[in-house]
Amino acid sequence: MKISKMSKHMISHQINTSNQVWRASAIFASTLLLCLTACTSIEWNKNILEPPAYTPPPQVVKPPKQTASFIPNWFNKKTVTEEGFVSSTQSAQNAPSQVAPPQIAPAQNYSQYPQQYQYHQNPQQDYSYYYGAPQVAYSPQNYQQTAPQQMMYQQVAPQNPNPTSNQPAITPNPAGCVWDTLPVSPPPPPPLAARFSSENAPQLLEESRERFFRLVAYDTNSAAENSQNVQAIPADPSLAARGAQVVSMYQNRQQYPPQYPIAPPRHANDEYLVSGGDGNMPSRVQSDWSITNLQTEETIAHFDTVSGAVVVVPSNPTTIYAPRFQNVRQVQGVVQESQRTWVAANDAQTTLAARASREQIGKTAQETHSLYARNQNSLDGMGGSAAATANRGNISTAGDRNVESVMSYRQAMHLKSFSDAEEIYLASGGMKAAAWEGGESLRVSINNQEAIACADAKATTSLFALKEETKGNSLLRLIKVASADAAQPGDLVEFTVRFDNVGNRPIGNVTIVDNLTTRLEFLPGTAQSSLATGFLVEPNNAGSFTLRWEITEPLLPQQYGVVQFTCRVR
Amino acid sequence: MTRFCRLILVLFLGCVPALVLAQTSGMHPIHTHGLPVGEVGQTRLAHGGGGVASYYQPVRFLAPAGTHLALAAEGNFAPPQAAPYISGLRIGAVYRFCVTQIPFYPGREVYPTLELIDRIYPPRGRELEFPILVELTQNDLELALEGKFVTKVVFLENPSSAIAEVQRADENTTIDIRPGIDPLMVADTLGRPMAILRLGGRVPSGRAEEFAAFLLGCPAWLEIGMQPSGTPFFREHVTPVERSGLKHAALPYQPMVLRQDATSVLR
Repeated sequence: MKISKMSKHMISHQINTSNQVWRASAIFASTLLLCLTACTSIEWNKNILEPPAYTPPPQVVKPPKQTASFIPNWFNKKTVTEEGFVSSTQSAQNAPSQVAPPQIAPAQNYSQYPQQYQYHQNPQQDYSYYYGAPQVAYSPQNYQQTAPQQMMYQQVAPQNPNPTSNQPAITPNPAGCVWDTLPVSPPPPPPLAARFSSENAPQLLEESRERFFRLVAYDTNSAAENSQNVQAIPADPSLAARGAQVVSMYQNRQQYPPQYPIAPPRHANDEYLVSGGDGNMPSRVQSDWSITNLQTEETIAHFDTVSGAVVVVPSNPTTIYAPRFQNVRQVQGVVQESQRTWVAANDAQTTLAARASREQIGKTAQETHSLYARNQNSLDGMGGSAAATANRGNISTAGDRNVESVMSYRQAMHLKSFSDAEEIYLASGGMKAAAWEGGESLRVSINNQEAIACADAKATTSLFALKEETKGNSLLRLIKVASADAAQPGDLVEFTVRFDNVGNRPIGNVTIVDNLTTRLEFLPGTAQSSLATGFLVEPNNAGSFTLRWEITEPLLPQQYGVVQFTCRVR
Repeated sequence: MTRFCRLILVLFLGCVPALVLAQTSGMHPIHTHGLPVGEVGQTRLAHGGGGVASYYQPVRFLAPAGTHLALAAEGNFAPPQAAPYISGLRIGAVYRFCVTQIPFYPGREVYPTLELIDRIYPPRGRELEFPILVELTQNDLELALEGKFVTKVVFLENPSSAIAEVQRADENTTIDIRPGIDPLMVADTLGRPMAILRLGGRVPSGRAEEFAAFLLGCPAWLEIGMQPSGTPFFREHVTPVERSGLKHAALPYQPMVLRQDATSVLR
């Protein structure tokens, strides 16, 4: 009994001793941790505990915009207004010689044109080809008679027989692509409101539907711009059959810019070169006009609105199938292996310790340690690299067929064949019934008291009045296409960027920036523009170049321009 | 101190070296070039996905001018063809081929092996325009003739980490690494490994019973050529097992549909 008590006591004593050891070790470890934490916190808070001597902060002087490295000195930021640029502190005479500054003649007597689109007119542009003789007043009848081409100005851009425009013509490119001489920018069509009448109302509605105008009906007597109570258009079967819809002004505000189904397949996106888009990190324009978050492969444009805001617009991503292979070669000789075996055998004969140390030195794992560490993110030895670039395509797609659709889409950029039907095709491919011009100016209001036109003479209850939109929209559509959807190393690929002012207000300081990827080498002298443009090339950190076009004149509503350049696929 | 606190302390102290080791360990556990020949490709084939099991991947063999290549087909080598030579190979198979008429080495022969471990996905109808390039340089052949063992891993370069240098369409940039480094791991770091080429070290013994093993079973491949009339032809060389009817391919192979202008790459 005593023995058992003694043994129990001893056991309990041992347990207590072990508890004490554990407790002591825990206290020691806790103390050590506290000390480490305290030391670290003291080190971190050293500046707080012991503030350094006060030194006046350096006076930051922002460089003027004209002297920024990325901005040519001749280009000065100007304020865009409804009439164009008004405040230009520096003339454009210092522009590079490769781009002739536009010579704008004083305004001529164009007052005979309708007042609502006089500001669209370029004094040096001969509009008689489009509009016929200047007319005193506009009517749908003479519009149909004298300006049939203007109705389909996007389908077939006519060659100007009297090219008096100051816009430089684009010559056929050396890559041999199918490009004709770029015609001058056609004048914008007159607003639909000016062409609206009871006779051509169905036609205009059809046109607005084809051009993705969003037909908005709202009650002008109501404070809220809401069309829920307006049943005029649905009540008219002829109008409803032509696609007229009653939507709210701010309803269905589509994502901008449109996304096209041209992203490569996700499992093979390392076989494609992607050019365009803005990636996951939106680019931003700083006060000195420098651009942050502009990564390689990205193409953006930024412009100033009338209200002074700077808007950044990405282009669509363009893909080119261009896989490039490389080899990793390792040569192992029998002589080297025999030497290594021979030395190890000698070490084994002398001493085991020496052999162990020699084997430790010669371990392969030690030699390839850094390379292994670089490969931590690989998946399975084959697909890790593909997953690393999975975010280069902005949208997911089904497969190669969508990639091939780029070629048909490329026809849209050929100005002689740019048609509304292709717009429909593009939009239907990306997102059904996407309204690119969702904020355009056509608005239908119902106002029985101030009706100026009747859509249907028989249905006297359906009275429409068109008025210009009061809320301005500044939108720029940027489309980028390549002349080839697949290329071998060494091939020349021509890129074309078309920018359209799809808003209803002028925009200024339009700047297009293309940050080329590593495997695209810009060929000097191939950059062209349909508008007066300042062009700048700078090497980027990817071993390629950053291209920058700066449109010198404001871009009026529905005006567009095209820039293009040629790259060699590395 | 309670047992819970002890457990927390032990876990904390034990996690420190584990975290340190985890930071320094990036070794891939499976794919190394030291695996048996064909293991990497078979693993990729077993992994599936991407249509690797039912596809003849066009491979373009590049070699010095005048060199002739002959792939193993149906128990023997096919008639040699002058390089460059294009053919359709299966993913996961190992092909033995014979290189003859090497410049400056008349009468000498090299018997490399090619293990195809992945495929690419060109636009439909343009498969022959974008084959995998397997390059045998004069230096490679000379090293093999000297008795060296040359391992070349052909990989698809990642465009986001591409080298900013101009490269011709008929050549591959070669990165030499020293012995002791796994070329497959290096290739996986830089891109997507596509094929493993091994040169040197083995010649046929002349014994008939070993010749079948030397040819690695003569896996099936697709012979692609041009007829005198100008139209391409495709001829599938199946394995002897498949020819005897004992075993068939698990999946029907995708027919290769070529565009009219795609035949210009054929000789």
